[in-house]
Amino acid sequence: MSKTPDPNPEPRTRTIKVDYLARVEGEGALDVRIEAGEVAEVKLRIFEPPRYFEGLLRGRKFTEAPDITARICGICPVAYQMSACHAMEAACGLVLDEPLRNLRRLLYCGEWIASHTLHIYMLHAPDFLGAAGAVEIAREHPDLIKRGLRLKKIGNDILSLLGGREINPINVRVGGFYKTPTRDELNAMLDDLRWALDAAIGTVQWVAAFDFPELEYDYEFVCLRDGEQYPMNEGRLVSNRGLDISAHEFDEHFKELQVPHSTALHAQRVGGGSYFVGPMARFALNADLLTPVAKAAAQSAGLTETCRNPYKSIIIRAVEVVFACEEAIRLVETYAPPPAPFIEPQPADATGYAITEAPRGILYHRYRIEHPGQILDAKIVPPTSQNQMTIEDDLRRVLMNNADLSDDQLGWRCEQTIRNYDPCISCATHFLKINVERR
Amino acid sequence: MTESTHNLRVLVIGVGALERGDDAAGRLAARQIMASSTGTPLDVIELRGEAMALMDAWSNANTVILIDAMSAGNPVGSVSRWDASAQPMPAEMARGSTHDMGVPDAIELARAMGMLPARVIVYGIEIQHAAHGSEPSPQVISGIEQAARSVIDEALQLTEGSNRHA
Repeated sequence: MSKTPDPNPEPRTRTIKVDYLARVEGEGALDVRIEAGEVAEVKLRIFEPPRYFEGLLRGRKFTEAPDITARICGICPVAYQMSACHAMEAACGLVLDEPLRNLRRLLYCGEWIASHTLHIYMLHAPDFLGAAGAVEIAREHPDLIKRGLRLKKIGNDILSLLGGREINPINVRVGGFYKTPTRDELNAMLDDLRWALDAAIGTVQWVAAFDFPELEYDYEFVCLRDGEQYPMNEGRLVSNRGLDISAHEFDEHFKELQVPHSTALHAQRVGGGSYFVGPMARFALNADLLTPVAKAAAQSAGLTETCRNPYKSIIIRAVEVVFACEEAIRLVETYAPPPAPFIEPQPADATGYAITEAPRGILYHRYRIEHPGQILDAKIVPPTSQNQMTIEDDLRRVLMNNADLSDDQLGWRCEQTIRNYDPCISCATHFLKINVERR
Repeated sequence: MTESTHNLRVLVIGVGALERGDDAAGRLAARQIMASSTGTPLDVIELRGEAMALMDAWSNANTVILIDAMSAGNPVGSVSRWDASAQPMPAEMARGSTHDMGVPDAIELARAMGMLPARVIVYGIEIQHAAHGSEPSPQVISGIEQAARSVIDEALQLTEGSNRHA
């Protein structure tokens, strides 16, 4: 973090710059300007090159979309594959049977476990413990970090088994999988999954004891809900303000805007207004559908369905890890190998729409394809672009409520606030920004 | 982990994202090493740089050389070297990584938990552009070649030194 010296003590102008947002996926920065005690400007700057995937997809075969879009994110490739597959299958009029749908759900469990655990232990917990990072926690509490590492690895193991590898899985295809696992291969994971469930319960207890800054707002939470299962791949898009639509109606209710300070688009509700996607939204609108152990863990952590403090998202993420472990155990124990690993899709001249629940929130895909299966047009709206306005709104509130903090403390609190959303700003970048002497 | 006194093999890990222009530097260097180090006691692998995958990869290794892209304000394509087993990675390096948890985080996490291999050397290739779908720049390709030669030389020195003491 760098600070610009204050040249005018009266009236006081404070400029806080967080040049590189550590522990946030991608390349981002934050500029804040406070003039005479008022927040004059909040800009979450994203200076990754504009995403070119939508353009890249045009002219490609419809079956390539899952593998191409998986490259958008190294942390949540399954989400991109799931939304791409469902959208293409919708365009082809293809509905998968329960065994294949369950395998997809199990794959998503792996991604939720791995992604949430990474964020809880390595990226967000340090904010609450006054630590600069997970390394500092590891020095004091190595067993705690080892627990997080093992838990994440178990999520990765699911990805490896069903996806073919941990990063950018290659076994997912439109219509199902290239290869489905045997019952023995899945059963071999059960001991680890049972350990993971206990570790996840311990994680909820750990994070629930943190001190949480006060910040509450009456957000519009948006997520999937199908009324039967905690949402991952299926359901209608609903909100706590009465939204209830199908995926194909998304563009009528949500729009994306270009803002000068960011190369990422900002999504908002048609008619104006920010909204909130991700674990907080899922919990607010689907807590009744959590699995029994996850429900008990949420209750013991003092969570109510109306939790509106975004800092407590870390507890909800931990509850979702409990859910994902419990659900994975159920799916493994009841696994019935599908009669075939995939159903061959028959492309038509059609547009397919899908929304699935990435760890960070809803991920919308829309594809227009034509016979014999060429993509004419693609639209992808990731969760971080949908939360970006809400993040900036939160930052304004945090700045107004904490103007008495020093610049360093305020910068820290702003970073913590951004991390409430586990933002995936660019996805798949891998870059070290440093100052160091050359040898 | 104790120092092996015989048949030392060096694990070389090339880190990066192949589809992101200069960011592929570490992995392309690893491929050059693989192609031109016949007879050298090396094991070469490529990873995207996620901390836990790195820690898994080196969990049974004694001597590790990592090659990664970096941005430290040096001339593009220049190569830097750290002996991470002798001293902590620069604080700015660990703090500045914005992708997940990367090489410096993995090293320092492992050190904090007593899980760092006995010897860890990091080579950094200075990069400029990491846009999706771009190709590595000529300066970075030159840096890749330089890093590959340096890694092979160092691996030979490490293994020969170890074998003399066996």
